[in-house]
Amino acid sequence: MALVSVEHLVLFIASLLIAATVAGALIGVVDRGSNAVTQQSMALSDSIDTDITIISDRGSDAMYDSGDEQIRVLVKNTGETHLNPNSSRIDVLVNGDFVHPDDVTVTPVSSDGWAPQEVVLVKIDHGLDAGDHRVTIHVNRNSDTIQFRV
Amino acid sequence: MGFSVSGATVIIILGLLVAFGVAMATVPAGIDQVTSAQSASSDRLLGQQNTDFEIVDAKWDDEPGGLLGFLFPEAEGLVIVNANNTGTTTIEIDDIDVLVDGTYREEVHTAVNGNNETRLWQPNETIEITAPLFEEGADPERVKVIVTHGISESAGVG
Repeated sequence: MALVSVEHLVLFIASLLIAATVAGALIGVVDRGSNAVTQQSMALSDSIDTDITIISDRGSDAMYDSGDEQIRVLVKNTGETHLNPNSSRIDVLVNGDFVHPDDVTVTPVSSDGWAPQEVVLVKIDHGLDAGDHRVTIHVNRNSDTIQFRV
Repeated sequence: MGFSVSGATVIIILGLLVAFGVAMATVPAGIDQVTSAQSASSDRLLGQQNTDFEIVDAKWDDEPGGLLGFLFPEAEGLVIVNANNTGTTTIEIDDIDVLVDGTYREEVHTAVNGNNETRLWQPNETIEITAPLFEEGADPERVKVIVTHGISESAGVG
């Protein structure tokens, strides 16, 4: 009789342990999923809140300095988030070719940072031949493109 | 055996409840965050559609007198732009950017219907935007004015 009780006790403890392990794993998986959902929501709402507009005057000669072989693009923050005026946080394509961040300089011109409604000057060290060209600036899943003639 | 099954079931049900609680605490918050961002984005789009202005004239004054001459004594001349707010939104003066021949002008003076202290440019009001140029021999040809939402207009300087 005593042997049967011990067997039952062992089975009881084992079943509790297995149930606790399953429940713990379930909570862990749901917790990781929830954290991922939170992070993804933050990234998505950040990307929806971000908007940029290239405001350079393509009718002027100021977009390309042939002496320094430098493209100069003015970009306005028309969204609602503060952006980082750092070349490593901005992707630049010239005629579809990626420009390395070392060849890009971002300088705030209307204030010290890049808050909403403020403007930065993006200088791109990239030589251009005479003809039509396009520059695309990507920031936080948002982009704007300008086409101009040199 | 009966106790084992009931105990294990209770623990698994508790685990399910906790997991459900964790999920219910974060998922609606995430959905709410994205929904409010989309709502703000729609508001921005509406504001963009309702914002409009037109440049009436743009002049180059190389012998400025009066208040503007007093404000910018070192300037070679002033680019003076008159524009009407033809939209239905109020534009904040601090959101206005001016490019003269493609170059951003940091120093700009504004007066809305003659009032140079207001920071708001309301519908149907006329703004006079003055950008001093300090470069020697300056002879500007084009001016571009950009306001909220990136709405812009450009004109030749007469």
